Amino acid sequence: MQKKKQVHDLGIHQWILQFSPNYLQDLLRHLNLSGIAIIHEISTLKEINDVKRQLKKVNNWKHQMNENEPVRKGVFQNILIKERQSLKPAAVKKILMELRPLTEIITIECQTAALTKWAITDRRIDLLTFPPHHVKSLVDASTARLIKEHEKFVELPLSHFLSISPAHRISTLRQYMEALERLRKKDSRIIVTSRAQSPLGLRNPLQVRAFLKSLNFTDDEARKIVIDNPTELLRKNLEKLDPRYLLPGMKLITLEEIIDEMTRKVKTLDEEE
Amino acid sequence: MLTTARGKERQRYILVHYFLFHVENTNGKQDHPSTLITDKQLWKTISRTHSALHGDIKSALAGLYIMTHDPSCRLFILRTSLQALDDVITSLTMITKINGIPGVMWPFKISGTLKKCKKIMKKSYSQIIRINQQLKKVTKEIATNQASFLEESKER
Repeated sequence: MQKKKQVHDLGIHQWILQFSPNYLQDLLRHLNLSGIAIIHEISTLKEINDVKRQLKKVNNWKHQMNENEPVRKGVFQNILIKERQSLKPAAVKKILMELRPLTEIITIECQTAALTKWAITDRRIDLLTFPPHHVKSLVDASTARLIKEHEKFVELPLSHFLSISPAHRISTLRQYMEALERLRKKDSRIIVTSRAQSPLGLRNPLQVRAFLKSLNFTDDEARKIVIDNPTELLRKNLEKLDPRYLLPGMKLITLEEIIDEMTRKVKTLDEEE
Repeated sequence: MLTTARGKERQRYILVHYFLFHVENTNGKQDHPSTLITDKQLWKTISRTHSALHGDIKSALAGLYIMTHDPSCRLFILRTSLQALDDVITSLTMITKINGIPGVMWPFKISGTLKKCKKIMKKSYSQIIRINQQLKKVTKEIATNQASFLEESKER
């Protein structure tokens, strides 16, 4: 039997925790989602402690797990760093240093070209997001190439299209379509999130795929954006959060694990013979 | 136009679940009459969004028609041509208001036959009722939180 593909929505605000785990499971099943990431917004240095408290709260909620509530395994955390005038690069670095080991995903909202270039090269940042009215100017061909080279993901929040008037929607669509075309040409990776502020902002993968096809993506590309990219990002970052992780492709292993691996290999070789 | 061997246009049936944000209970059991949406209101909402997004000609070609509607469960089956299927789902994605009330539409099953679609609709009743109840509770909490936040900001 073919294994069901896992689909994640990597950006939902904290209202989702008001559901009891069983109902959350029902809702996610109904929406064909296997996991979500809860957003914690941060825009000043003073908020670090608040965010840490929120992260702890969600972690406690996740760890009060019993076998009947597998949904908690699919809840991840996403810190969204929003650039404000008061937030200087040194402050962003401090936020990253403090919060990176505590969370699965770090997103940064790039308001300027300088911050975009810096964020692309920083290994602690996973997702880049852009304000809808600047996305066309910020994502040029060279930025798209850099995003591809540094294996970063670009976020496409659905809420940017839903919570605005039809007149604004046209200009936002135009801005995004040009930026997405550049990203597509360079084969950069895109992730669609809902950024839902309430249940009204939630959309299922079927809707996201149809929406992407309307933005001139092929069926394969849309499938990759909806299914493969979020799973890949999570896999990579969960590996990094492992205490034994050292560097990309390198982690500490015990002697017993090596022996186990060797015996397994010998067994398979014997079976083949 | 995609047609069958007999030259008939190929159709698809989409099972859609919708939800309204302002659901006020009059007696704690039934929904307020203004939140019970009719077939015509649903059709108008969908076709308006579809023509705003894709134009009048494409919406005419889509051949939208509501086959079955259960207002109490907030489920309906929408018929469309196979060619316009993706466009119709995009339109359903973009809907944020249903008959002027903030709401959302989630298409969750696509079928080639009405019979199969109705079968799935019957099967999913209990799950949908449970989800609707919980959604009502959560949206009420969100609305009260928003109201208190607005009051606080006004006071400031």
